Amino acid sequence: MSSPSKLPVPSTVQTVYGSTMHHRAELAALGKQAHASPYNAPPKAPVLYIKPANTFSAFSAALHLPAPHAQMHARVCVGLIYKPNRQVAGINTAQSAIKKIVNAEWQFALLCDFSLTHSSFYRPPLRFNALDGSLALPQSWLVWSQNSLQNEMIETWVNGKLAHSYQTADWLLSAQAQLEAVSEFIAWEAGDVLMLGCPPDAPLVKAGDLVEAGMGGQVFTRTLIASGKVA
Amino acid sequence: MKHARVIYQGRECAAQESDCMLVLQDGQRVSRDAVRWLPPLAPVSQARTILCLGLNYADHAKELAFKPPDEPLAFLKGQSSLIGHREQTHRPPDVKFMHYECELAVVIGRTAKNVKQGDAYDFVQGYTVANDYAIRDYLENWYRPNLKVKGRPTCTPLGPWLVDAKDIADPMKLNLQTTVNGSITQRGNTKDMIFGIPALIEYFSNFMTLRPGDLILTGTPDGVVDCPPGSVIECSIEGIGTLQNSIQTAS
Repeated sequence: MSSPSKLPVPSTVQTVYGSTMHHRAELAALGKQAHASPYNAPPKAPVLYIKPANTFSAFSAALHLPAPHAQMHARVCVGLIYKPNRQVAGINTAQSAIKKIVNAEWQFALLCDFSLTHSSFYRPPLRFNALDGSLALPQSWLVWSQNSLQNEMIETWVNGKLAHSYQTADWLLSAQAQLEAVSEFIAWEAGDVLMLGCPPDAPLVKAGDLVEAGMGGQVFTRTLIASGKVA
Repeated sequence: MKHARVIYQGRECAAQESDCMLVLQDGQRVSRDAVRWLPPLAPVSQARTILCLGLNYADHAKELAFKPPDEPLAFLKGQSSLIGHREQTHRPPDVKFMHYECELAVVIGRTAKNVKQGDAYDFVQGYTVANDYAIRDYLENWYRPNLKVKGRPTCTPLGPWLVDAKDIADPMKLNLQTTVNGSITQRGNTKDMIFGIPALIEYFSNFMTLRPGDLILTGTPDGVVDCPPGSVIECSIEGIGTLQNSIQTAS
């Protein structure tokens, strides 16, 4: 795959929020379970988690598995970044939510979110998805317009072969609508990212695999899965 | 030493407590009422990780009808939820149950990976008081406690002071209490944590690297009540400080 046309590299990615139950296949896979204990009802608000900064991994970096034979889910997600080129001030105060989404203030790219497999979405332990190096950041970001991401094929490549793909048209809410729904209760700081949903059949990867996230012939992330735990 | 970060005459600066006054980093002495308080944390180049504990006091776990957890129940929140001492927290107009949670907050001082309990305090810079508000109306059983409950802007007051770790002889033996409009509604002691500070640092650093400026909010004891608009809430922890804040209806 070729390299994408480049925009200036964002100064720093800050807080990354991920969405689950946003691709229609996620809730579909649960079926009636979504109405049973412990959930009791399908979610009303966007279901979010956070990938903290220790998980950030640069293009071509290695992800060290927590155990030699562990496998990890490789979920390639579309991410929207807020004001990526804005200098980040220190801590500000009395942040308030954004009332209106302005497309020009955001850019998008693919990220690859690695997590240990878990079947419960009730209160999954942090150790499943906050491992060091478990979020591959993109090497570049693209301009986001209202026409972007309507019907894109998102691809996961493992060792040079297409291992998984899905359509952005199968999100329950469009990128814009999901961002608006999340913005009702999350305040964005420059560099913050919202990742969108990925179907539950994302591939499992193991030590030695090379994992890439691609769209339209462009490669956004590349991760080498490395064996064992480093001290 | 008690450290703060404040805005004085439009400028953000570090400050220290001195005889009921504040000494700014340029040496100027000002009244505590003359500043706007920020969370007492030095700026970091990459967003800090904010680890929060659920059900980490046996009595609170009982209050919420859960059996005590056998591993720490932790969740994350974003830095944009933080505000300082004497700021206002927004309560959406349709909400019926919004409560404070007074918590001892640990500020990490050194990069921590695979730290053993016995060494854990070496990685602590200091302590402050957090009020980890929850809006229970929004609680859903997906990735509990979901971010609509816990991650909102203004819903995590922090401060007023960052107290150096060496000034707190035993952080696992501190009284804490909360008052609403002057009446005591919550009392506890950090000795009743299910997972204490050393255990938490060992647990987290076993699978993730903690960085300077990261926070661990260690959970809250029994005694949470609804805070209607206009309430003044004070969370106090012995030797650390009293964090004051009020509730305002969100526009």
